[in-house]
Amino acid sequence: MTKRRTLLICDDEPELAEELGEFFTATDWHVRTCHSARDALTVLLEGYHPICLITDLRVGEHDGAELVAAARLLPKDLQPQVVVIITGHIINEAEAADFDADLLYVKPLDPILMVDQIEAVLAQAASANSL
Amino acid sequence: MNLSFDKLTTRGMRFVSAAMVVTTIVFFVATVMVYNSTDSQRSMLAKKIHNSGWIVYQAQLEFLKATSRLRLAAVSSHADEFEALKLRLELLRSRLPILYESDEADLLPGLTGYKPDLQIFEQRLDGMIDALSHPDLFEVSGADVFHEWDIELQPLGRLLQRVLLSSVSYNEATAQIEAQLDANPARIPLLLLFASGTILVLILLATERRVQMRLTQVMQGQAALQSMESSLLAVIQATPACVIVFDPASEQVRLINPAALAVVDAPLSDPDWKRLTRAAREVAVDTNGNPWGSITMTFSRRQGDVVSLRGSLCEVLWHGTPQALLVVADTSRIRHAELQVMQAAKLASLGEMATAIAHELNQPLAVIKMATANAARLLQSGAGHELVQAKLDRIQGQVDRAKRITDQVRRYARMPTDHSTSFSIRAALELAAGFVAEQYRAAGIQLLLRFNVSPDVMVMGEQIMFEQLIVNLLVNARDACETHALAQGGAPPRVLVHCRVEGDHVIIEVDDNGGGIAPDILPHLFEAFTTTKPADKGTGLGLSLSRTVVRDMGGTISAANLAEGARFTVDIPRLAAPVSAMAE
Repeated sequence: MTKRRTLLICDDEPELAEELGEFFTATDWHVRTCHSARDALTVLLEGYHPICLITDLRVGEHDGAELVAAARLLPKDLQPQVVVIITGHIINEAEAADFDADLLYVKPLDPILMVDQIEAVLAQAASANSL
Repeated sequence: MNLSFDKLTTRGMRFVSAAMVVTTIVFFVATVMVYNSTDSQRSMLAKKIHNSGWIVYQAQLEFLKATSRLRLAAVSSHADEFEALKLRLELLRSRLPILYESDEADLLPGLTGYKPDLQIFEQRLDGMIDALSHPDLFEVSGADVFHEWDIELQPLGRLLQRVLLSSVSYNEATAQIEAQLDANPARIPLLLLFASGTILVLILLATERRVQMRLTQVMQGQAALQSMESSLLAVIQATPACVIVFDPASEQVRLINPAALAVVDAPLSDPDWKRLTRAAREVAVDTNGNPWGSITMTFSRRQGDVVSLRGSLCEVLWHGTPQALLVVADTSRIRHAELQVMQAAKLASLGEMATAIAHELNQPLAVIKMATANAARLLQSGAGHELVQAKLDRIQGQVDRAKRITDQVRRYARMPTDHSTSFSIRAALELAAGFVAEQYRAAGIQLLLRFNVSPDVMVMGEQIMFEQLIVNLLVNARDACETHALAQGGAPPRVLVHCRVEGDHVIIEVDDNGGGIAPDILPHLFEAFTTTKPADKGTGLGLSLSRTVVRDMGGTISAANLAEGARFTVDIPRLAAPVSAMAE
């Protein structure tokens, strides 16, 4: 059975978070959006455990990396399978692994490409679990 | 002309001095002559007094002779005796009027009081003399008659005796005075007179000498003054600064030097001079209404180019009349260099902010990208027109947002001008703070803005430069906070911008908790090439240029350390509120 595709988006740009959520919703994702890392942490602690977490690198007063770290501290089966960092900063040599994430995008990002790559990571994770 | 006048003055003074000396000598000689004349008269008077005693004595003697002859005639009735008696009586009679009619008699005190008595005796003697002209009358009783006459004349004898006694005592007093005068010869007062005259002449000569010396000093002072004026004019003519003296009332230019002529490049009758002096007076008027002060201004020349001028306007006495003195230096090249450095510093800080600007610009671009993707999806799915229109509206809003960012960058990168204008201090602070806000957000530094000023509080200056000044201070504070946070950790980095009005000034304080400024750097902080930043991060010109900007606005900038960081204080004059605004 395919796990329900749930997504938590965290970005302090409400309009961007909204557009991103709308795009994923249209591709059969269940989306929740937050505009600060504090709210996103609350959502996670309240029991919403998405398979994908998309967060801005800097959201309000908190660092997006802190949110990622908090998510990584959840039990293994409750952790997001895909963690995506999006940022408006120019970070030329940074890699997703530097932030303990699976994917890293610099704004403005291509949503179709991002959906495809998330799907690819999920498929890769699923095949790994089946083995 | 002055030299001729001085010669005339000197000659005149000498003539007056000589005339005074001659006059003094003449008076001295005249005094001696008068003294001699008086002394001579005194001697003559003494002689008369002596003669007056002699006259009385003669009369007394004649009385005795007459009475003796009268007694002799009483015992001898001889005709010869009668004749001798008559002669004696006539002599006595002739002596009596002399006692009160002669000049000598006038000198005897109280003699005129005896005149009536003497005249009675004169009449009686006349009677006796007449009687003796007829000797036959005395043949029978001559002895008795003569005896009676003797008795009648005795009061005359006593009268003459009294007169003689008073004459003798008067002569004795006169003799004593003469003896005293002889004991104190007239040379002493004469010498005193001579001495006083000599002293007077010496005083006159000394006075003349003193006046002469003073005149010489005055003439030397005038010559020195003329020399100084000539030197001053030479300095004014040679100085590279523009020097203009003009009448503030009529705006007529009194003096210019070659440097001023080179700037205006027009004859004195040209209206450009009035345009320059008028502009200088308008700029020099400060917020207190004081018409004199420092000047930073531009002047558009008739050739079309603009020159930067910096200097001051003050009041001077020019040939005894209050005039305005404008001294300005053509700082066009310096100003241009300053503007270039300012621009370079701005572009350097713009480069430092490029990452933050790119991030800020990426936000609307990201929204646009997503909205475009959603719009395309909606169109493909045949969704309603309204949904697509909403996406287009969102895209339009984000494009405007991106434009505001690029406008801000363009405004910041614009080459500063040299024109001062009035601008709202609050608006300028908000623009400057807005420009660095994203950097602060990215660096995790709290930026607190406490603007206790209304938007209509205006200041005078070049707004772009002022904004650059505030951006400089905020960038410095950000760097200090970042460096301090990395080294120390501890309290969250924070920068506070506080603006308030104090009297006719606006005070802007930028406080940080970045650890403060090293005490050895603090005194030199606003000097060029002073920096605490790494070589690749700061030019060392930011604060020096900031000081120039504030100075041009007529204000001051200072720095001090607080408990946790540093405080930069900018104090600039506030423009007087318009009457209508004040009424509100």
